[in-house]
Formats: sequence, structure tokens, C-alpha cells
Amino acid sequence: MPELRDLWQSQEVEETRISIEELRARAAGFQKRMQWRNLREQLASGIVVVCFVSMSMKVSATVPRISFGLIIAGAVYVAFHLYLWGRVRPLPSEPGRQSCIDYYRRELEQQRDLLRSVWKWYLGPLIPGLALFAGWGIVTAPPERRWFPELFALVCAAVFWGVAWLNRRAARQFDRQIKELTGYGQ
Amino acid sequence: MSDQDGLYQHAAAEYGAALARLAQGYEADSDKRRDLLQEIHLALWRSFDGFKAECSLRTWVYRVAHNTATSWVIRQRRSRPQMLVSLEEAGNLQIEPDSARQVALARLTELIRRLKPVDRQIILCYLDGMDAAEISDLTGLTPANVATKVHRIKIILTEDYHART
Repeated sequence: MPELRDLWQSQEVEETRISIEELRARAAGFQKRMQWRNLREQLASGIVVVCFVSMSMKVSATVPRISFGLIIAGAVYVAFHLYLWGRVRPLPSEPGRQSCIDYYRRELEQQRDLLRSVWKWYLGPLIPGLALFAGWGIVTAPPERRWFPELFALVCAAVFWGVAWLNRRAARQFDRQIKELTGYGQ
Repeated sequence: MSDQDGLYQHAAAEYGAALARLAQGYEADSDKRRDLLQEIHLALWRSFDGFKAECSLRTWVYRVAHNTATSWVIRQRRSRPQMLVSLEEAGNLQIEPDSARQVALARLTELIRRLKPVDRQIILCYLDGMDAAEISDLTGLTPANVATKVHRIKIILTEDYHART
């Protein structure tokens, strides 16, 4: 068997040459992409807000108006959280300062924490408005049409539970990898 | 020319081939490998803005490259889930053969790509000529732990080679 190091180092590889000007352009492009992504998220939240504002103006009953107001507040909170999350970026020199195992652990922890806290920043803020709206529908709908708000509540609950379950499962997988990593250094 | 630009150009000239081999160990798809390599170069150039010579240039370059590639692996696994294995499980991997030296290199590369990030980092550093102390400094593992893992992968690869020739 050929010596492993010799085998590895003698392989033909395609090197990359990038000029400093190109690197600067790519770094600027990266910043622009981030700004554009943030703008897209703000726009998506803006559309949700506009839709619910127009819907709340069409109804005269107080409870649905309040529930729409709560959904708007929830959507704004989600957008704000995404905005904050997008702003927290590691310093460019960080990958050179941290050992590989620390860096890997931090990456995994970030992913796990984001998934684990999905109730707090994504699902939770939308629940009060949706629950109030569904509850109002069930209480006020005539008996023969009560199935509709009941179905709405059921679908919402199923979607929320499904999203939370998938996120919790993914978070547990990250957690297992973090625990495994802790055993590495010992 | 700024320090950042000068350091990058020096590092790219000195470690360009090593970085390309490193990308080879992380990504099988040639187009994506090119993207990864460019991402590593960009991360390296950006990192030199904060380089204060707290460690050797080589350690810095490898840390940035491996950490950037690790983030890449995490991102890619979200879209292309593939089971990564530890060194302990790597002995059972079935890798498609080809011919003589190329076969050995293909097996080695395939095995490396299937390893979990820390095991992969250790092996890639070892193959690029680093000693246990340097690898320990880079990864954060103890030198004894590094030596054990290097020893283990050498056994796995040797056994795999002899089993197929």
C-alpha cells in the first residue's frame, strides 16, 4: 500500500486563484445578498400585516378585530426576531481564533437553540391571535356551520404541533452531536 | 497593498494546493467543490483583517479552512442528508473500487468524506503533514487523542487496502 501522506499529497487538484479585487467584489456581494434577504423577510411580514389590517377593517365585531391585531403583533415580533438573528453574525476572524472543535460545537449549539426556541419566537407569538379568532368563530357560528371554525382550529393546531415536533426532533439530533463532541476531547 | 491583502496572497501561494486537497476531502461534487474552495478563499481573506499572529500562519489558515468547510457540511447536510460515521464505524464502509494507486486514493478520499467533521479534520491535517501537537493546537483535542485517532484510521485504511488486493 502506498504511504498515505505521499498518496494524498501527490494527487492532482484544481487550485483556485482569486484576485484581491474579485475577493472585495465577492465580499460586497455577500453583504448585498444579506441586505436583500433581510429586506425580503421584512416585505413578507409587511404583506401579512397589510392583509390582516385590511381584514380587520372589513369586520365590525370587536373580538375578531382584537384577534387580527394580535396576529399582526405576532408577525411583527417574528420579523423583528429574524432581523435580530440575521444581524448576529460571527466576526470574519472568528474561524481563525477558535479551535475546530469549539467552532463546530458553537455552530451546532446555534442551530439547536434556534430550533429549540421555535415556540418562543415563531409559533408562540401567533397563537393568541389565532386562538382568539378560532374561539370566537366556534362560539358565535350557528350550530350547522360550527364545523368550519372547529376545522380551522384543528388544522392550525395540527400544523403548529407538526412544526414544533419536527423542530424538536432536529434539535435533539443536534443535541446528540454536541454530547458526542463533548466526549471527543476527553 | 494592505497587510490583509499581503497575508492572503502569501497564504494562497503557500497553501493553495493544500486548500484544494482539503476541499477534496469535504465535497465530492466538482462544481460544489469549486464553490467551497472559493468560499474558503473568501473566508481566509476576510479573516486576515483580524489576524494578530496569536498562532502560526499555517494553523490560522487550516483553522479558517476547516471551520469554513464544517459550516459548509452542516449547510449541505440540511439539503443532502447523508449519514456521517465516526472512525470506529468507518471500518465497515463499502467503497467502490477502480485501479491501483487511483483506487487507493479514491478509497481514501471517499472514506474521509464520510467521516464526522472532527475525525475528518484530524485525518486531513495528518495527511497534509502536520504532527500530533499541531493537529491538537488546531482542533482543540489532546495530542494523545489525536495520535490514537490517526493510528486507528491508518489501521482501517491498511486493512481495507489489503482486503481488496
